[in-house]
Amino acid sequence: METEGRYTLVGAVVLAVVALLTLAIVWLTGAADTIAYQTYTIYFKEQSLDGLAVGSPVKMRGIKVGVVDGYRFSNKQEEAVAVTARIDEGVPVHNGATAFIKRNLVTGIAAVEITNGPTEGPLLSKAPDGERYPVIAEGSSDIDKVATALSRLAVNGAQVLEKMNTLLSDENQHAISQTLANLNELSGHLAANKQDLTAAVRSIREASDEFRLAGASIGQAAAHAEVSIASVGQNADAALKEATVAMVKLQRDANLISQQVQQLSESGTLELNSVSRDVRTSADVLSTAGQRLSNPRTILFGPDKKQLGPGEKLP
Amino acid sequence: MKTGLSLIALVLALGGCVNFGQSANAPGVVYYVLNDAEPAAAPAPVPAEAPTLQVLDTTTGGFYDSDQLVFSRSTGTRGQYQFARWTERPGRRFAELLRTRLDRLGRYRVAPAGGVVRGDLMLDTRLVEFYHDATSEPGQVRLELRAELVDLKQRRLLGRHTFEQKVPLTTYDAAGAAQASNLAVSRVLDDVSAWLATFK
Repeated sequence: METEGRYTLVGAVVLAVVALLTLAIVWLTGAADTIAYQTYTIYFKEQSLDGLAVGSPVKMRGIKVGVVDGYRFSNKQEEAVAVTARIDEGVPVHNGATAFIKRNLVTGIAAVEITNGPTEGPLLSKAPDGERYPVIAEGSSDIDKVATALSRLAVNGAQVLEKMNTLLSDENQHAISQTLANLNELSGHLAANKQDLTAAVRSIREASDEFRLAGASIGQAAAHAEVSIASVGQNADAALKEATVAMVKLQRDANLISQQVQQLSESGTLELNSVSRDVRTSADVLSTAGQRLSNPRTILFGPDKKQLGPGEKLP
Repeated sequence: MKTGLSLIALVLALGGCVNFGQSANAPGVVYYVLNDAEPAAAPAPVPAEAPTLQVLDTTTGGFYDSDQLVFSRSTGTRGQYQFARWTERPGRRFAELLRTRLDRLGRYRVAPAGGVVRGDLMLDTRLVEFYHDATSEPGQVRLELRAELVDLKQRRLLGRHTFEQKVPLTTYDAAGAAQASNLAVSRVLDDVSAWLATFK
């Protein structure tokens, strides 16, 4: 009785140990965790993953929503690192979401920060072809943008400094020195020839006075010419009026002559028609008489018996 | 000499007054009027947009261009009645009858050619045959007319047609020939009117 009781206890203990071992294995392989997480893949190509490790937090708007599950160099995209992130299943990740590395400036510890896509968009749940998990695109942080701008600023500053160096080269310095010396010499010459310059200015002034006088003379001549042209224009206007009157008269006469010629032509046509009809009638009469006279024997002695028509008889 | 010449002149003058012609027993010449057998009617009103049709005088062959009625006793021969004549030559008379008939239709403004009226269309006709076929008694009148219609604005021939009618005589004489001729003319005028109606 006691032996059978021990066997039962031992069997129960063995079963419990096996169950615990199974649970431990499942817990250790992390299979249990997949139930509560949604896994995503993020390809980082532009950003450094310095300070990022397995288990590093994955945050959204500063709140931890998951952890980094692993990372490896991708064989699909050149120099890209594929980071596998587990995010709580209750956290909605929409299409258009991007991820970037957010690093603590003091400790250097990095985390993955996710910027969610438009909330009206569908959830990111479908894995692309050839991928095991849905893929979140790589984004860029504000610090990265500032760093990029600073980098461009530094490059531009370096170029400006380089050009300044070129501008202030030994050759240019020598040329500037020579130019200044020439200016100094020119100013000395000007001071020495001040009287000549004054005389030249005076000559220019006198020339301008003469030019003004000449302009006034030209103005007077133009005024005279204008008066003459106006006179000629008046004469031409009168001549044109006379010519217009003559042309109108000529046109009227031509129309009158044309009408008379047309009337003459029409009356001539009618006369010709009348004459031609008379001539035709006379020709018919003459033709008939000619036909009668063509056979004198018939006229003198009457028609021959053979000439008679059907039903005609001679007495 | 002078006396001889005066005698000859007197004889000639008196000879001019002598009638060697028909004796008193000779039959007199009968003149027949070529007419359209269709009863005359008032012309229909002509629309304002109706075209002007110039109808030329009908031409004929030299033998038919006479006031004498023509007959034929055998094929290929022609003769003229000696005591029967038309009041007017057939060609001229036929053109007058044609104008009257077309006026009556009311489809054209009909005008004779050669006047001052400008025409849109021109109708030219020719009497090819018009005689009494007397190869058998009482025979028949044979009338053949060729007509051409010309568009004067475009100087284009619109159509050409030959019309032929044979009308038997009731009596074997000139009177029967004249009566049958009237009927033949009427039928040909009917045909010409119908032909012109085919042109829009």
